[in-house]
Amino acid sequence: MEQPIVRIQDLHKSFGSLEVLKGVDLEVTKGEVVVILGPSGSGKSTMLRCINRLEEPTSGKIFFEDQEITDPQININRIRERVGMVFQSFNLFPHLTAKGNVMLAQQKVLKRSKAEAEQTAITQLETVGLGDKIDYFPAQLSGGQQQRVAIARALAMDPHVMLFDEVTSALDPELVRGVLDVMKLLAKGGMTMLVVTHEMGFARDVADRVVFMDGGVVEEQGTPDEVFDHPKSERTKDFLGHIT
Amino acid sequence: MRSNQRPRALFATLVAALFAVVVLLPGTASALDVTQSSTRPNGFAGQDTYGGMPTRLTWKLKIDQADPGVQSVVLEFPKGTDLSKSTVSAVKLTGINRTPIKPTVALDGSTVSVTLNESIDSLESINYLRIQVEDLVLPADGGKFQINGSIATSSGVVAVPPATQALVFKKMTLAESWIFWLDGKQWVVSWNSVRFLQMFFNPQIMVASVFVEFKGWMLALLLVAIGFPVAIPAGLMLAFAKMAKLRLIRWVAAFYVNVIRGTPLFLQIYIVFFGLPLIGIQGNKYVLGIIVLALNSSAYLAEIFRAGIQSISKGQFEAAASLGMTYAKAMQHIIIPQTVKRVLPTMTSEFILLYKDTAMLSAVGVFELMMFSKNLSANSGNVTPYVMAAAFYLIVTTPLISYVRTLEERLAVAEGGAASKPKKKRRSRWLPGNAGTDTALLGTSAQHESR
Ligand SMILES: Nc1ncnc2c1ncn2[C@@H]1O[C@H](COP(=O)(O)OP(=O)(O)OP(=O)(O)O)[C@@H](O)[C@H]1O
Ligand SMILES: [Mg+2]
Repeated sequence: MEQPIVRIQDLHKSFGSLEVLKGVDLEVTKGEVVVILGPSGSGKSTMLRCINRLEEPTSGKIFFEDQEITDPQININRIRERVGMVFQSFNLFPHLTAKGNVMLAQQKVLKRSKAEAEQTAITQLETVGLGDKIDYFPAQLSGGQQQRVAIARALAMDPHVMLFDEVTSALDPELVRGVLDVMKLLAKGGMTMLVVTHEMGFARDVADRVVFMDGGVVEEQGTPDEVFDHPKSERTKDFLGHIT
Repeated sequence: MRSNQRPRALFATLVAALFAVVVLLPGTASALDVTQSSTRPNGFAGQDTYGGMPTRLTWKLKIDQADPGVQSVVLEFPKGTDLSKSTVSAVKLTGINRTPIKPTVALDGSTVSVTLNESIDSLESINYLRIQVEDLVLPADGGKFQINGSIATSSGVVAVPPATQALVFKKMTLAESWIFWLDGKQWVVSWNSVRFLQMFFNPQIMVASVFVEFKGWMLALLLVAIGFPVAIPAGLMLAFAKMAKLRLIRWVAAFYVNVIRGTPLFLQIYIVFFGLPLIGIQGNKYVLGIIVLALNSSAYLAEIFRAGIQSISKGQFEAAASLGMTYAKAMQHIIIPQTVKRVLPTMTSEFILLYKDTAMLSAVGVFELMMFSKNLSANSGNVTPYVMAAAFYLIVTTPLISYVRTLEERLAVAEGGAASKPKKKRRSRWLPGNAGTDTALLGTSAQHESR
């Protein structure tokens, strides 16, 4: 068994008196595509955001490539460089072009030269199918195109893991495909991915493993076939019943 | 004033002359003496005589008892003097009696020849001969002169004795020559015959105001052009201080901002102008003026910046953080550039306010636009200088106000948020996202306007 790249141990997270994560355990191996499902409010986003510490865990441990990122001594920015994240609301920098969005952190964080950053940006934007839109500003792009720029922006940092939090939820239905296609391409390329989504088709086709979260814990996990076709937990059944 | 002095001066000379008669009577040499040689002020301030504009020359000759009778006088003015419109009168003064004389006058270039049809002597009492030349136009370039010429007496011709003081006449400034030009126009006279126009839009005073107030306008611009850029980094620092993690820093910044925003600028000016020198901080009033403006504006800018930064969605910080950017880098490369765009309209409004507020510095003797117009208005007893000051303020504020509008519209379009219709803005207050925060920003700007 390969060494896990992300290891979450007994993760708890509370917002004030509201305990959102109640002991999450999860391991992700290199190259694995893990799709996380679960009802609204079950803590999927919170768990994902704990991995790059956009949320501070209340207790428990998270390891990333054998570094304990929950260690208060650690420079979290060093970890974040290698953990890409794509948000539901794109969060592109509106004052920069598509290319500028992809270049900025390469230059300011990875200290790449302008030429190198630009070259990488163009390559990544071509990968996500936006080679002809590099000089467009976010406001001039469709939601699907913006989300693909956001993916390119994360990829340009050469991340070891990519976190996707409902990246197609804010998109018009006709734009979802393009984004999912890019994600499939990434998965095929061997990228380690944690994907929170409601796209069951994507989960079935692309996921190596499906994790069902409910009530702040991992309720059930397994291959897509196991979880979708032979769910063990009543809650999973219930959830899948509602969705399909 | 002069007419009050004259009898006394006459009395004094009379006494002196009597004394001379008693003591020096026989065989006294001729002692023609010029006792007055002056021009009437023709400027606006009422002090000076200007070349290029009509004035009146008064020249007075004392004829002593020992003097032979004066028969004619030739007065030579500087080259370039225009006598073509002049009229000349002569008066004989004896004690307090004045006897007009009808002389024969010849004007030739810059020379006036006055031939008296009787000879004036002073056998019984001292006589004075006063010659006045009306509507004489001295050379426009200005200068200084003594009247030269000659006096023909019954015993021969003598040179005109020099007066004790040379006559000074000034070159007209551009403003003065324009005003002089206006003075002569019929339409100006008719215009000024309407009392409202004369008091509020007096053409001559308009011209004077433009020239006089220009300096004040420049100073007002200079004060704000230095004060505002100083206030920007200060305001930014205050904004960050208000968002600092340490409560003490937040508290201090909030205290400062509240005190400045909660008190009149007028009061702040007094405190700085009278307070700083008392604790040993000396500075000329311009430096002090800039200090007050910057102190004041920094507090308003701090609120503008803070609102601007906080209007940037949390997602921007998160995206930056997820890419490994530090807080400082995120601020520098992502938050501030977006904030600048958003706060530019409100910042420009603040600039407009600060520029107008320079007027308050007139209360402490800073010679800016308001001060000049106040003085000019007081001197002329006319409202026109204030009207012109308004024009000077508007030259700057009008384009800026429309610039603010353009910026606001552009911003609304760029952010796809609230359109410029107030109805929509109000609605968007209750909607989440950028549209709502924009409205909050605009809200502060609106509050701000009413300070
Ligand atoms: N910053 C926060 N402060 C307070 N409560 C929060 C915060 N973030 C999330 N929560 C709460 O934590 C719970 C879990 O939120 P989370 O976003 O992780 O759910 P989710 O599984 O991603 O749901 P969804 O499918 O709707 O995105 C919710 O009840 C939410 O209201
Ligand atoms: Mg979520």
